Amino acid sequence: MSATDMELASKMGQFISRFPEEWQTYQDWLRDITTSHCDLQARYPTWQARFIFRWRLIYFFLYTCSIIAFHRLQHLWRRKRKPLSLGENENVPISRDFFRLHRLATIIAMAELTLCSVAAFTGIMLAFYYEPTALGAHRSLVAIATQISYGSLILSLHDISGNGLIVLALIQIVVMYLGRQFLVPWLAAWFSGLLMALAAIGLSWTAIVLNWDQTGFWRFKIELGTIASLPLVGPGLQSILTGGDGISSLTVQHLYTVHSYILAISGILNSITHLTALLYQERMWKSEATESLGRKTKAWNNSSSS
Amino acid sequence: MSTQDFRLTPNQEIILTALQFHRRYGLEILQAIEESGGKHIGFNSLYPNLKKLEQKGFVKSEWGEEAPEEHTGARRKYYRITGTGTEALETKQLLLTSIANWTPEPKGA
Repeated sequence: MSATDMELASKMGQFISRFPEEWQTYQDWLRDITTSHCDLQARYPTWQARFIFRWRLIYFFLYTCSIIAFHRLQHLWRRKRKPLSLGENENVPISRDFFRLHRLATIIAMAELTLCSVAAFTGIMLAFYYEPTALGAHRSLVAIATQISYGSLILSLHDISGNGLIVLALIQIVVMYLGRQFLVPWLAAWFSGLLMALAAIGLSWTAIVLNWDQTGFWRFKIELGTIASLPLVGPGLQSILTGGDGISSLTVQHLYTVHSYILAISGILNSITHLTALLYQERMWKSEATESLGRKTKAWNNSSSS
Repeated sequence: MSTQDFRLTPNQEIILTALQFHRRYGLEILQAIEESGGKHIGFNSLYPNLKKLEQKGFVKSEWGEEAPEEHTGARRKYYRITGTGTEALETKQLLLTSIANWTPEPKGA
């Protein structure tokens, strides 16, 4: 057996022995693989024996690792159901994993607020030069990108922060769903998170039209038809968006207002509400945990003094 | 009436047969099957099947007396068939016999 093969087997053994449960179950497999090498060398040419030996090692390693991962997931699932215990009788009414998910949600909410701020700041910068008219919209954007100092950078930042906000808002919905609590702060955070995701998607949609290029124009025309076909609200919504019967300069102005004032302000407000609700919930949990720990310590002190 | 599930896959049946009269370790089971002209079973199938048989209670394992392997530190494990395992094999044999002896009922009987 070559030294490399031996070293590989040894490394795999060392790694799997870190997980005692799986090592107890599967170490005989590894032992038989290493023992089988002499037999392989007797039966096959060296290259083939080495290939079979390595294949067996790799298969063993992947199989055992998948079992280890499966067991860890099982443990995680069981722990998720187990409350965060501070003693025999004192339990904080949340679990460790809920707390971790909540911490993750708070971090994402902070990132979302940061992106909102970046988008708002760059949006204000762009508004200095953007011209919300049918003739001037595309021209002004080209001018921002090519003639204005740092215009391209600001335009890119606005674009990236807007798209990043959508991605984070969607991830946040999943994270919050996994850590659902159905308490008032959580519900406030949940609904503000949903509204923020919708606002972010709306901002992205209106931004495509505000570009006023061929793709944006025709896409808007098709989507306007879909909006108009909505029962009851469709025609009204269409006239609000277009500002009349057809797509014109007034349409750009309307969408600019929707984008820059209604949706942007709604996004920022929801983002602030979302983060505040999450921080409030975290503070509530912390105070509950501290009180619970205090009661436990007091009980322990009383029992030890008596 | 016993509620034990005696179903065996073809590989599990062969492995259990290899353990019928001797306690053996994994590689020895493979050698026993291969050198007796039986179906070829790889390592990849042997160990998962052995663990399943152990979970079902058809085999029992015990550590060998040999010292751990010098490079990996892995120990050898021996497998032994249990009473339930023997019963499962007998059930399979009975099933095969009854299949072999089956004849259609005469029409109009």
